[in-house]
Amino acid sequence: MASQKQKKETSEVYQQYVQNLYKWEKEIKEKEEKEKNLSKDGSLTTPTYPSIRPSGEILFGAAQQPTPVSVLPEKVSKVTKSGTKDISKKKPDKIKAFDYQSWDKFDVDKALEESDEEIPIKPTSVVKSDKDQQQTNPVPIPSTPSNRPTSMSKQREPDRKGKKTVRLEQAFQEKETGNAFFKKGNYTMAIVHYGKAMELDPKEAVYVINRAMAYLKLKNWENAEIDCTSGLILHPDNPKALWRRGIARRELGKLEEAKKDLQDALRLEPNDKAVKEELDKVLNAIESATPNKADTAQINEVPVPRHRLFIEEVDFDEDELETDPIKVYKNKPIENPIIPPKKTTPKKFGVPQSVIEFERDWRIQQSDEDLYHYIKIIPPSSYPNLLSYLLEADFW
Amino acid sequence: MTLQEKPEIFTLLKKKLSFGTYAVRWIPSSAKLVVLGQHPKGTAGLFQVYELNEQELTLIKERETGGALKCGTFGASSLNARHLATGDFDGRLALWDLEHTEAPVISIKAHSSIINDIDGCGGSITSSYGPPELATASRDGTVKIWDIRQKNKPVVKIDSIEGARGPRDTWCVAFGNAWNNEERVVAAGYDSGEVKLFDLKAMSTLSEFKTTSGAVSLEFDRQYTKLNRLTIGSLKTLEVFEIGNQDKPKPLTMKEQNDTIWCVRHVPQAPDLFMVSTSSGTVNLFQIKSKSLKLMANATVTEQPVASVDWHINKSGLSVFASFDGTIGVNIVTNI
Repeated sequence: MASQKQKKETSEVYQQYVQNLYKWEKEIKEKEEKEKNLSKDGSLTTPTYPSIRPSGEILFGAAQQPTPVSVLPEKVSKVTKSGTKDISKKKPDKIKAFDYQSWDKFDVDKALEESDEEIPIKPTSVVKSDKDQQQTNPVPIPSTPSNRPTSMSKQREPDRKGKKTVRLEQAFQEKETGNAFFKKGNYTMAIVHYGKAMELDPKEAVYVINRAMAYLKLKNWENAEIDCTSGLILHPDNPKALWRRGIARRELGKLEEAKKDLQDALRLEPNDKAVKEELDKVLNAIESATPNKADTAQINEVPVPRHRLFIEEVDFDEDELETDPIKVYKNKPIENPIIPPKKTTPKKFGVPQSVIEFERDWRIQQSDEDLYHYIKIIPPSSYPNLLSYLLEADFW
Repeated sequence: MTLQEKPEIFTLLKKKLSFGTYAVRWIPSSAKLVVLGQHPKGTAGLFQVYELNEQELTLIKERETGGALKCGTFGASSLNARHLATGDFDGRLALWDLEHTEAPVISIKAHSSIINDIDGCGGSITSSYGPPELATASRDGTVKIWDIRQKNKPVVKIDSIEGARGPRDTWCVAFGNAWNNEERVVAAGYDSGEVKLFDLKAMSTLSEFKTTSGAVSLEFDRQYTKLNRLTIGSLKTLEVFEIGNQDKPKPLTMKEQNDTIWCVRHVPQAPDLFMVSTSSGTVNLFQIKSKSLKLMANATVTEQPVASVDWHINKSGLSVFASFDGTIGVNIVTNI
């Protein structure tokens, strides 16, 4: 240590440095104070950052699979393009509603890209802690989709994932909705939702093929055949699509084609009994049709017992098929009482004033009839208050 | 650096704190520093803010945290906010406003295991391009990239490498190539000595190579320039790689060490100079000159390994160090 001290004393450079250091310390402390005061009165603004990177995963080796949230090359290149224009620093002027000429020149796609860049200004003010009052964020929310023609506002959620992945996720949701309707036997609604899924993700064969099945259930053979064909274009040699198209074609009287489809399906899934059954039916139909080749009417009447278009679907990737969803939920409150009811006589209940009361009373009810009576006494006007917290499966 | 005078390392002051310290950082645009470590009682964490007054450090603020703090950075924060991002032994990532330490700005359970290293980019302190992001490297083997505006999940998750006995520990992480809004590269060092570079724009692995032993600390010579050099301190060696234009990083130079290098920090004001701290309690200043390493100056500062060093971005030559036994100090390096 002594040598260090000596070293310090003898080194002129060091001495000079230390003197400068003291000066610097003073300066920087003053500067800091100034900045603190500035930020207190809100004259400092937070920097405008580029938008949040689209999510992704980097996997190693063969595991590299595109996940629904992985970044897609198109999105990345879009960001590059607009990034170099330095859009995040610029706020375009809004076009007035009555300025038709400007609207004529308005470039929708460009505006959407710009919106993508600008949106993070909103979350910056959200991320800052509530306690941090220093930096008020007087940043105006940039021209949001509401100022643009409405046709764009549908898919313009200010999300971080990028337009394409949002669409894909929405498509999946639509499919799930469709599946739910299908299970309930509401094939028409299922078709509607599969259709929406197809719009959002035209490349996914599953949605088309599911819709085909819904059409089959509705005995809409023509559309079923069309959808299966589309599905096969997206996903050639899809055994389910072939099988269903085989059925549709058989019903339409296109027996030879039906035979081919079902044979193809069988080739792909040799152990599938259902396919074998349908194929047999077609073969029978062909046999019985051949003696009267000229008689087309008979062919159409194919005497196939249509008892079960037995399309038990595994396509849904659902693990459990609840046969009667309504029943299941009704039973729940009674099975899990928080307060075990000691009295067997039905209790008299007052109108619940709060969520907690409602929840408690609901659980105490012993039978469906009690539930019914209980609900009746709650004035409908208080439903929003009470029930807004309770939109969970437990109660429905 | 003047040609006549050699750089020299002087210890301006030293202070022994009562808790184990793992990391120390200058607070940008101030004469303050923050020390991160483990609370003397139990496994909680502790950070303290000191201000440099002439030749003394005065304690300004301190706060106990949930888990012992392992690492921290200001890199993802703006110059106005100067939020400190910390990683702790429980895998928690927190963002602190040092003016208001009642509660962290953000607190996320980022990893299932200790966060070994953290780096920040895009916050307009070091780099002024791209989104403000943090990279956390954990013993669970993954590296996760977080945008400070998105708390619920990471922006990018980099998978772990499978080793013979489970995933490889990631020991260190650093951002680089952030020379515009889109480009960004993350370098991660593993306990096996593997080093991987990931391109965040293309969302893919850029390159991979190996150092002779576990990579403890690494840093690009500059965060906000195109890829140039990567300096890696490992258990047995100090290695410098040239990344540049070629596909495969080229080992530029290597120096065998007797002791582990705990921390590598380039001098912000002079890109060809960097300081390394070692397990024998020394800090060494190296220069990269025409593909060779030259030891310019060194000093023994403590008896325990020096876990962390940091340079002040506003004052050339002013550096701070911290060692595991709680000794912290301010060094002045002249002639750089």
